[in-house]
Amino acid sequence: MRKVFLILVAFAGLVLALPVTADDELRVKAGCLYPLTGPGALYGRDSAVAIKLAQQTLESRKDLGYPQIDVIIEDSRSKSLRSLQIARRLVEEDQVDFLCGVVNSSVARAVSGFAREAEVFFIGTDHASPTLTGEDLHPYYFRVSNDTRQSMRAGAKYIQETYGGRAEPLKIAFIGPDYEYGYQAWDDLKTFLAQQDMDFEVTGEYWPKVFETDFTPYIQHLMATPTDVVVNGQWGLDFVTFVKQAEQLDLFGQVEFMNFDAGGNYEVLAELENDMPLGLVLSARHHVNWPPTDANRDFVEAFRDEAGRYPSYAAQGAYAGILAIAEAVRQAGGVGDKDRLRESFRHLSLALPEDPEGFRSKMDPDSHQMLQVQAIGRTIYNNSFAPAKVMLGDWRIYYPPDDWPVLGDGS
Amino acid sequence: MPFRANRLNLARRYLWGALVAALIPLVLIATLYDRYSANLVDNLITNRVNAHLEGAAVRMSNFMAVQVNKLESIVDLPDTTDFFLDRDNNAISPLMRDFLLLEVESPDVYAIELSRVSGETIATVPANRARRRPNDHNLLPLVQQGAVEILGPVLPSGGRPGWFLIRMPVFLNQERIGIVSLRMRLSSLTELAAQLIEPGVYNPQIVVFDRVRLTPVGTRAEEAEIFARSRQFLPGWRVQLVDGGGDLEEPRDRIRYVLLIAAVISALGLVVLFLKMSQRLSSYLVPLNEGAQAIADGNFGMSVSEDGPGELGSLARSYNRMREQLEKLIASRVEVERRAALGGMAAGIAHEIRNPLATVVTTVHGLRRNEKDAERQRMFEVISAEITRVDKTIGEFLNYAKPSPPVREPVLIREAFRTIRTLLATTAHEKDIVIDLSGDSSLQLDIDRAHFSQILLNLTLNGIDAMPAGGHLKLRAYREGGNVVVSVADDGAGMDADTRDKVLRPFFTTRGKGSGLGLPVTKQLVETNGGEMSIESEVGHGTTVTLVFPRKEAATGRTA
Repeated sequence: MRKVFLILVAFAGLVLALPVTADDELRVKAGCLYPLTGPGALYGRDSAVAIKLAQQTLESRKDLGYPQIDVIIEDSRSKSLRSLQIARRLVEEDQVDFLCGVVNSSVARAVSGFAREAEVFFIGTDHASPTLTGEDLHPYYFRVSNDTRQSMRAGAKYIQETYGGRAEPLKIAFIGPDYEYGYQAWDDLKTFLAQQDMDFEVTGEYWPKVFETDFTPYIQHLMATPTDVVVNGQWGLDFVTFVKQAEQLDLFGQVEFMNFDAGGNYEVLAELENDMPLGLVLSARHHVNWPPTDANRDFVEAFRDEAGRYPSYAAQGAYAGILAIAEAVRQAGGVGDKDRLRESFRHLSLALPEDPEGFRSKMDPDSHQMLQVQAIGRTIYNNSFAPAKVMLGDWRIYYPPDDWPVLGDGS
Repeated sequence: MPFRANRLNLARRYLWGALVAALIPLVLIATLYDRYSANLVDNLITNRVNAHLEGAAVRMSNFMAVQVNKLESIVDLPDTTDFFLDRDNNAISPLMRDFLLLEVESPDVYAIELSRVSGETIATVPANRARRRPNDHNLLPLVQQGAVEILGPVLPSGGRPGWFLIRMPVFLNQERIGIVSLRMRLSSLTELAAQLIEPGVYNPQIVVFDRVRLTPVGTRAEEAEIFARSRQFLPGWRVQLVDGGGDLEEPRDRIRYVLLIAAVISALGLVVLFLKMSQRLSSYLVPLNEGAQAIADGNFGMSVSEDGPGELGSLARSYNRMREQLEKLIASRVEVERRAALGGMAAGIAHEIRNPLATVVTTVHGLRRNEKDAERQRMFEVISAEITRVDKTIGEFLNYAKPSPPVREPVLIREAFRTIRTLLATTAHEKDIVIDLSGDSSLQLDIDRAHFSQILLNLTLNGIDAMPAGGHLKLRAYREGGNVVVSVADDGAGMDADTRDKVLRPFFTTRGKGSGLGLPVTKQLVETNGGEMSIESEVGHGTTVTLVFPRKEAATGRTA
């Protein structure tokens, strides 16, 4: 009896809701997976705030034919199996039109595999392994944030510009997280360096596990081998912990230290405050103080008004993801025709906060990877974005190539 | 006398003896400490290192046991058996896939592989972590422990980390139908040895059959000198400590050098301290020695500084006192002998001169009485006067040599003073001298009355003689600390120090007609009556003679 009653109430609710959505506007449903607890939770929370900002943006563009997007945010906890089960439930029970989000590349590969099976579009907003747009690529996967390949391409150029004229080979050591993201970043960096005829020699490759708490043995090994440049591929709390421990052991006094993908993330700068050493070469997929455009400033301030803090790069990725879905749906005229929708995604072009003046983020139709500008800076004192005391400056800007590079094994 | 620093005197000998006695234990203790502490440090290091090595080996055993447990859970699943039985399809059931996915959530496990008995891999979970067979697959170390085989390690290469396999066969009716393998993260095992790292001292290595060496971060390690090895935590697998490039002995050697230097500095300090003490002791003892020798040579004028510490200062004071007493004793002995000689001589003179003189005087008297000639009478008078003078001198001399014993009685000083003033009034007036009497009018002395009069007369006459141009003569009597002091002071010519020293010697006089016996006789009279006489004088300012008579209880009970 009780069950029947509940069904009746649910049906009544559906009947009441339908006229509003069906008649007046296009509404689509997205299910996003982000870590909301545990390590990396800040990325998820920032993404949730940014999704709200994106919904407000879409609300203001309703008249231009943009759909309104209902977003269900689920806590992935950066676990593959949990994420997979949530993704199944979102598709099978919540009937979402899109899957989105995911911070960890391993998790993203699991979710992407499921999206392929379920034939549901998965819009990646934060994970960065090129494998997803390479060997794992399928017609239902698109990524709207920079991947490590773009970061490493820019990083390789940065290294070439800085050390290109040397008589001796540049000694490079790499330390990155022990999973696909780290492997790919290092593979790509080496490939791009070779492409630019950079004469270099690998003095060490180290793979501490993700969410490691003691990097001391690794730092000691890095310091025991004569090295010119240490390229670090860590992100989030791992990077914060590494920097603190390396600073204590004076690694930064011995080598040039670079992290091209996530080290310059505002979250890291805010966490380390004065413990962030000066002169490190860092980058991130989005910066609160670059590009100096109104769009970026507005986004950063709007986020701050909403959340009371400045955004990490995950926020801009999530914001881009929702806008990308809206743009593709608008161009395809709905979610009914998946082929049309895919074509819309393939040729997507968006003006995003992270785009410098005169540039629009553009989807590469073959790799399904959004092409964006990468800005690499050095850490300098800057109190303008409290609680961070050190920010990036002394920028070097790297525009994406026209055609997205296919490297190695086809990834 | 020069300071004889090079002589090995007694003090120095004792000090050197003490120094040697202090240095021998110091050297002994330093040597023993060095030897035993070195052994102790060796033992401690060895014990500690071995304990840590065993700890690491135990951690690795436990880690492997956990993985084997995990593997057993998979092998024991009915779905696993079904998977291998279904030879055609080899589909992993959704339940089993989720279970396997859950197992590979651990960062220690890269993938789970399901293989045929032949070794061919049928399925990998997660599927996207399939691996290529390494080139040296057949050369990889393979060990069997219980039901599981451990294959590897495969070292990091091509930008991918190292790994090893733990595999276990799946049985059905005692027939092997398939193999389940865990592809393990190599660093998860090697990192368990990271606690053993002592930068610059030694480094841990994980060795497999003595041919594969791994660092704690899972990379290939160089061969190096081995310090210690653990037991095997898997067949052929062990942890060892190798030379870390630093000098192990260096810190200990540094401590030993520091201790040695400290011991040498202590010894040098002791030598310097003892030398200083020896010099100081000598600086007190040598003058004492020299002083004693001077006394032996008859020189009593050499006094010794009394600043020495403790017994040395006391010894110096005793020496000085002894020297003074000895000097006085000898002086008084000389005086006694001189008096005895003078006494004998005086008796002779009295007999040989006074008797003839008496005859001469009588004769001269008779001659003068009968003489009419005035000129000759004057001459007889002169002869009589001169003979009287010679007799007086002989009388004084006899008094000095053989004084009469005092007959003491209470004498009121005031009366004695007045008698003297009366006696001298005319002379004083002639010479324009004012005689001033002062003091306690009630004072009495227990003294021979004639002696006291003689004493006062001699002293006042001396005073008047010292003031030819007039002046003041002061006689005072007062009590001082129970003693009675009588002083006679003039403001006449005074004496220099040399004269003052000689003035008490018999026959010393500064006057043409003086006998030189007045003051010696006075002094003798004072001492005969139990008093002491002292003279203070300054040229141009006058002379004060002070007589001190010790207090004596009179019969009346008054002090005198």
